[in-house]
Amino acid sequence: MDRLHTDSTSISRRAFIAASGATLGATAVGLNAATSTKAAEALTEAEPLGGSWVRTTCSPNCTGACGMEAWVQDGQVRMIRQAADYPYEHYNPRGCLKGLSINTLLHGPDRLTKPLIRSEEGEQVPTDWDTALDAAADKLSAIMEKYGPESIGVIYQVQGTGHIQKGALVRIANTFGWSIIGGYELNGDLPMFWPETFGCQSEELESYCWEDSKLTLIFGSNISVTRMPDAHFLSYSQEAGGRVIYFDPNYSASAEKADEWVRIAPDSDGAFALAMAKTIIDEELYDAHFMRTYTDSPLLINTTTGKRVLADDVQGLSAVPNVPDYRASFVAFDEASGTLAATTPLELPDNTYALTGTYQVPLKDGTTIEAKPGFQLLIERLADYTPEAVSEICGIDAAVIERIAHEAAETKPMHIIFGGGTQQWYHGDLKGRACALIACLTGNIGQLGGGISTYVGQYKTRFNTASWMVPEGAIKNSCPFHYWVNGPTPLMKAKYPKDGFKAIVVGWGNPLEQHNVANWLRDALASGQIECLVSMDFQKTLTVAESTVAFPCASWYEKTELTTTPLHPYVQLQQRIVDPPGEAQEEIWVLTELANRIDPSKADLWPRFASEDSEKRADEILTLLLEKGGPTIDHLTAQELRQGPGKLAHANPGEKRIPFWEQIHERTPFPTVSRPNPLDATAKFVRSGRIEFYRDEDIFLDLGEQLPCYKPPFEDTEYKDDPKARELYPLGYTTRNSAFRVHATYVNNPFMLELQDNTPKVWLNPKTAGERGLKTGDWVEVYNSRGSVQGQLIEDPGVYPTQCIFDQGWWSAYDNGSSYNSLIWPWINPTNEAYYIVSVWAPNMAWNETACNVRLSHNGVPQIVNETGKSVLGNGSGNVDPIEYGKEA
Amino acid sequence: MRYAMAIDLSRCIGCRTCAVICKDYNAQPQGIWWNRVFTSGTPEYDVAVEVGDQLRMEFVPISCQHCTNAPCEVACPTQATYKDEATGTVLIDYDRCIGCRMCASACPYGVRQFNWGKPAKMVGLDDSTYEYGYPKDYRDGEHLVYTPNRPEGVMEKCTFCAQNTAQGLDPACCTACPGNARIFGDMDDPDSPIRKYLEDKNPFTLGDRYQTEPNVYYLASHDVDQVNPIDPSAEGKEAQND
Repeated sequence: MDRLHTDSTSISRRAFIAASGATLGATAVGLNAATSTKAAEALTEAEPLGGSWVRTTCSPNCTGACGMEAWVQDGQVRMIRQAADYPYEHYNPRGCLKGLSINTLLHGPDRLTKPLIRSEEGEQVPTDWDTALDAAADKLSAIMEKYGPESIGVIYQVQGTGHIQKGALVRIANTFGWSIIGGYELNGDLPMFWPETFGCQSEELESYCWEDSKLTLIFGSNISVTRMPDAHFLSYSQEAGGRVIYFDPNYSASAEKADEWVRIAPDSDGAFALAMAKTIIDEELYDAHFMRTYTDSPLLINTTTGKRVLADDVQGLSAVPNVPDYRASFVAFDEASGTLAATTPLELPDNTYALTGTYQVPLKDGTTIEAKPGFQLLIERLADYTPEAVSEICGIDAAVIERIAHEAAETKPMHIIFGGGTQQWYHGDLKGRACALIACLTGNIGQLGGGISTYVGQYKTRFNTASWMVPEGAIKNSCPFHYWVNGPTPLMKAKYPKDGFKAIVVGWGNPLEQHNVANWLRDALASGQIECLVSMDFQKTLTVAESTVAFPCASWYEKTELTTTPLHPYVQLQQRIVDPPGEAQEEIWVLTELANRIDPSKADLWPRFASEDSEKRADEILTLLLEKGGPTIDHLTAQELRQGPGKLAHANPGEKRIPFWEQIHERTPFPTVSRPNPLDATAKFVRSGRIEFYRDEDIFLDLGEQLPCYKPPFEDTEYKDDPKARELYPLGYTTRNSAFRVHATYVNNPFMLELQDNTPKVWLNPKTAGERGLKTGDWVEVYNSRGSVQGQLIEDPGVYPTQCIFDQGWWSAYDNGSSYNSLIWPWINPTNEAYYIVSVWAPNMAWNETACNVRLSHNGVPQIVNETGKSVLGNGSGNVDPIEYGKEA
Repeated sequence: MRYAMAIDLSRCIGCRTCAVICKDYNAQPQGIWWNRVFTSGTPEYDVAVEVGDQLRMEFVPISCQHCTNAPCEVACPTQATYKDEATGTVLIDYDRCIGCRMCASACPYGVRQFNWGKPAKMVGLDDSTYEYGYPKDYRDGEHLVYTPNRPEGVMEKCTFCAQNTAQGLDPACCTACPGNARIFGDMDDPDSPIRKYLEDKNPFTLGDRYQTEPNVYYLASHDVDQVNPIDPSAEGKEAQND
């Protein structure tokens, strides 16, 4: 193969002589149809395959939600293909290398097929369902009795991947008052700038809107790796003449596919956006009507207190009528009348409010205060963010910042993708607020192909789910994982269990590997702080292996489940194509049994059924969810969904849902609803009914974060915690998502292992490696004061010199027992504590806010695990040395 | 009729879905990949390569090029490797292959994979096994060109999914590519999807100096403007030059 790789001239270009056959330009889409060639003229006709392909939905903890079809022989899935049945043709096909080879997991050696229980001697042994269910029920009942039900923490995968079976875990938590540990914030998926700016959990463009954008700015979202089935919409946008600019300290597949890559310093995206904002405002390229109408820019701020001025406090003014508790009527200066005006939070009318200036405002208490519109304060704050000053922070020339600012201001529609790589820092919310400012200054919100989106996690609840997840008499408790690790804080609004967490019930998750401070959690289990761990999974994860009771459950090829995703508008089903193996059962049966065995009086909420009737019961819940799901979904029937995808309804005209359509075009106040919460629970985040860039809660004022600003990495976390960390751990630790896994799922897929030489890798810039005497191929250790992880070093000039990269999701069994999460701490940013609503306003995980260093380990000799993904000739010639895929050069 | 495949590298995101569906669908055992995705200039995945003053990560999916002038066909002493006259597809008759591997030495693309007799059969649950891939044999006339149960010691490679094209279906990699970067069809038919796709574009083929006349056409990926791609500090330059 060296001919292909070391000699670039071998890939030459030659003119392609096309026969003339003038038709219109090349078709861009829909190329997955059958070939136009006629079989009879070609090869000997093949006999048809026979059998049938059955549809399901690929549903690991991924935003893909890809329709798949499987072909079954002898009770096993033998082939998988994409269903490619989306009515919007550009969505086809949908599905990636991982989902297309899930047969290796479905029938692989790591399937959990029997209930497991820990004996009195502490040994885990297989048992029968009755014993396992009774044991779990007894232990959980005893803990509820002794410490209260809230001492049982529930860790579950976010809703989008399953509303019926996963919903059953939420239902049982709500039945007994167990504490939901919100996966969205735990996973770092909660983009806190959304509730802080727009008052909602998040809104985003479905990926088919990307093709409508003329300019896409991507901040730290590796779309080509983490959103494989959606990435082509960026290509389509480029093919239609749009441009994609990608901001990332490190080169990646997404940088390669962009039109321009900006190698920005780590964690400096917010500063870049603020310099863009300054340029756009200084050159008067901004949409003043948008800022005046839809944002809090004209609202007056008391310059002495930093608080917004309330209409009721001003002489001659009073709040507009009918303002509910969670709203407020503020004050603006009306340029048309030359007087102060009370603003309405009930609609978003055109107005002539001043955006700039300084005003003397007489109050009813007889005093007069100085006040300025929020936009005036923003201008003053942006004085610090000249392109020249920001150039020093970002390592990007001022002229480049100005050029991109002009492009963003002058190109419509412009869409910003604000990725996890940018968000998952301690000050990630400040960066998001800065980027949201660009989307608003340029008037792109509410336009097809425009705005700002975050795609981290399959979090979004897209219809009303209370009919199933919230039983009558529900006791809703929740508490973020952050508090379990850090302990309660002075500003904590969440309800912390009085004796702490004593048990965890885990569904479809592997916290002992995949949570931050995974080693801390393992220690909590070993020390007895956690008295009981109950898990449900289809694979033998470490969490299953450490469980007090483990229940073998069904994969997404073995049950009925209802899924949605933020990335496309389709509601889809998982369907039973093969039976769960061994004694594995659908979760809905497991949890029904568990609920009844904990408290038989709950039988009316949890009618029992035989395990053979699990599909029938799942179907009943499916019908219930559709019927009671509200206007986005209630037009769909179970029967239709059995055939293929059904499209969610939306308010705006046209094929594609446009976020904030109602706000921008119908002048409905912000925020949009954050399901499953009622609107009034979250509306208080933006009391003005507008997009808010100015926050006047005390904690924001105390920290100087009333307006977006730049704060450097590690200063408020690692270096504050340990000043020596600055010297000891000079590198930033990025645990990015891999192309070969969805978090940890597929880690044991033998095809994926082959593609990675069975070896976890560590990426460093050659300069960084050289400074440490390390070279490609060395076995190294990445470490800080909390933990360490091992891997084989790769020198990569695309890695920023101050960064160290590890692909997250390796089970520690594949990585010489080391855990990449052992280095990572769940810092709590106090602005994330200003309010608390689970998965909407809560402390968010900042994975990237981790300092580390790298050194040689095991004298550099790779510690490769080979006994995985075995072929049947495992002990013979079939199980060869680590597969040297891609090593031919 | 001349079957051909076009790969639009601008659309290719390097995800390797084509490689994996090929392996799973065509029952390739451990270690065998008919279809691979390389990053030009490095043996590793997810690594940037310095190209001039830029960094690049140019993905190149490579499988059998189905050459019109196929050196493997000439090299084969038993005529196991042959070109289907009707479609130009280069195929291997497993019944005739004696496993001498002359073809592999002759192929300039390194795409031929020798199967020592490992079945696509994996260790499953509790000492059970599982199999994967298209379950039925396919014979082109007398020639056994696809079987999930490979005879011991045969050469194998991409067949354009002959079991599919013989049913009027596209190869699995073309239908599976999430980027719609792979287009299959008849190069002799001006209305075929591949011809339409390539119209007004400048495709190239691999290894022209070998005069193999491949039937896999590539479209080059677009350029990437880059801002400060390589550490500009003098210190960095020195380290890189060492």
